Amino acid sequence: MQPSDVVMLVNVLYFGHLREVTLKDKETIEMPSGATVGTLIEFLEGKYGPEYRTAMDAIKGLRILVDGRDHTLLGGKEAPLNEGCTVVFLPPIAGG
Amino acid sequence: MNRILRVDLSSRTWTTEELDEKLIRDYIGGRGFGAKLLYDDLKPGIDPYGEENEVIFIAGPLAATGAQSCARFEIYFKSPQTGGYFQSSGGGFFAPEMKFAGYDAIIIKGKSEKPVYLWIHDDKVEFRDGAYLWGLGLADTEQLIREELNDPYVRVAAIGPAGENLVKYAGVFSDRRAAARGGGGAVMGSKNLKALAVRGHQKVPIANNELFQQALKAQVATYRENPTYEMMHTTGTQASELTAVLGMYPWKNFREAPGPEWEKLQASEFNKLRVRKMGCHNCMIRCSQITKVWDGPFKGAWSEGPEYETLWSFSGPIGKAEIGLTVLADRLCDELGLDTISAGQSIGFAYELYEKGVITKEDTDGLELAYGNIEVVPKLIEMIAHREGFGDILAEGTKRMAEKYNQGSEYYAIQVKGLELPAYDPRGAKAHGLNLATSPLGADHNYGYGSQELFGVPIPRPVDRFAVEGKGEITKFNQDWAAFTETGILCTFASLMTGPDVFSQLLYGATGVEEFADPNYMWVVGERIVNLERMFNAREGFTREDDRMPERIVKEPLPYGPSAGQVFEEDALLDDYYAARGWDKETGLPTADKLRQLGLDFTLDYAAQ
Repeated sequence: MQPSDVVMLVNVLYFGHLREVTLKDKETIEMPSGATVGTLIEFLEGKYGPEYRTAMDAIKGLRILVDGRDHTLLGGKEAPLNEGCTVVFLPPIAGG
Repeated sequence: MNRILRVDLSSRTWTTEELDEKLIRDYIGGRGFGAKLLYDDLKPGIDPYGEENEVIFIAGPLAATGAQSCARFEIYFKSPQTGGYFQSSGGGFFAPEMKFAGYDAIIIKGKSEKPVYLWIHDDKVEFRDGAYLWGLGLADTEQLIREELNDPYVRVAAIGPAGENLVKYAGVFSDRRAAARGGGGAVMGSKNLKALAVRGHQKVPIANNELFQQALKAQVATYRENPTYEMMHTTGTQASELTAVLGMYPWKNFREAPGPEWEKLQASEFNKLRVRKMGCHNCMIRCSQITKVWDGPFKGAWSEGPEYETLWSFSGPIGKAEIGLTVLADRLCDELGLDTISAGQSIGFAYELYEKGVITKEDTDGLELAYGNIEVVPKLIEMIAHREGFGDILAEGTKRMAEKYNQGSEYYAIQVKGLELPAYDPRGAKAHGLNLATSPLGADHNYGYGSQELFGVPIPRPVDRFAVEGKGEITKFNQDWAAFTETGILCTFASLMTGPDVFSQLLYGATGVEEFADPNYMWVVGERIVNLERMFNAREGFTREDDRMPERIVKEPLPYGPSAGQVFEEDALLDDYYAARGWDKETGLPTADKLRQLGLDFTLDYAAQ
């Protein structure tokens, strides 16, 4: 099996408007080995249509967390995903 | 305008004085005034419940000017909970009314022979009988005072039964807003002071109105552009989604991460309970909301809130997510006059003591404190406020509870300097934790929010929340920034949106003091305030040893979730912090050079040797 044929499971959590587009708050997705944040977004755009990208772009200050860490600190769109990891699309939240 | 009111409850006398120009220039106002006045007025070693202790109410220079989100009042006192310097902040409408009456500060010392409340209306001060209010909750107290004074627009800051009974974490409340932490309510109670009622009719002057209006316009624009504004305006301040996905929602007394239970407490669930939006004086964010419970075991409960800290305080520590309980507990604490964080944490600590067999039903007046049994929590809150039975012990807070019960329980008493930790597990955010450790108040999150780690704010730079290196510098930035913005008592939430340039212009426009137009000057004042507060505690004998985190946080890795494996690397983080501050690493105290550099020569007797 080529590395790209190896499938891994990625958990995805949605909040805010992305829940309205996906009609769910979480799901587990099969992704090929070597997938990144960028390829996950492309996959979700394919699955839910251009509305997904539109909704994502409309959220000012959207954070994408990979196992609780900002993807910008892990390589941005190139941030690698791993088997069993959790990706969160999080609109700005602050509180206290 | 720009006056200080000094009240002596022992002699039932009062005087006023003009604010000193040098005080304004060096400390600006707000927290700067509070810190300087408290340092100057109190002698070291005094009893927090003694006549010498003071409660200082402060309104910032921007309250009632039209500036957004600057209406909070602050109280300053030596804390019965920590034995050190304390400041606590509450929202609402009280601070603008102080300004309308002409006061930036109201300093209260002494002790009244009988319960009393102060009626402060413009240039007059009256000592009014408070005996008939003693024992009443906050809502009745405010209503009866307004009825007695025949003025529905009087603003009241009062204590509940918790303050009267000297609960170590009793707060001061106004219009359901709380300056809750540190025991300021107990200090008022020790003075037999039930409340302050204030009404004023003076116009707050603006030094340069054209400049001020420009800055105000810019402030409103920054709000509109900031995504956090929209979130807080529509949803409020619940943040359990955030801490859950970061693995930082502490569970069962900081032993675990919550698992899926947190989903019952996410903002979308609270939005279903919302019946009305609320806000503070002149704040367009309007982050508050009235909630009502429509079904379940706590059906019928309502409150203004709960905010994030409170919803956590009555779920995380006891290991159960029941939304109705969080609403009811919030209301009870607001009515009885309790800090929700310390109340919830003290109860959660008791649950673990009970699980470990350190205490039994014989200690708890027959109450079953097994995890999952949450029906007893409202009863425990009432018992704390009235110091009834086991509540008398819970009223002392976790540090003193651990001293009483021993058997190794100090390890899991989750407090710093006697103040219980709030709702972000510091193992998952090292700068935020470093602030909790080093704050002179004890574990107070508002002293220097780790907004880079928690909210992803890339200022002054993006930060990896697990990294240790460089967190001293980030913590210094966060603490100095908080002090900078609290000179105008800008709400913490709004400070993230307003920014230093706009805020400096607001202060300059309002006061006309040219130095305030320069953010660099303001940063220095912020650092000066933090160092002065540190020196208050140094004078009381505090050192590096008092900056220690609870052992569980230092030794016990989080067991699972997005922060799994993390501990708080205490020594490395503290060393880094003291270096960033220019303080002595051995003692954790400012050096003489640092104090001279900041114009704090009058504190040199207590500098690091």
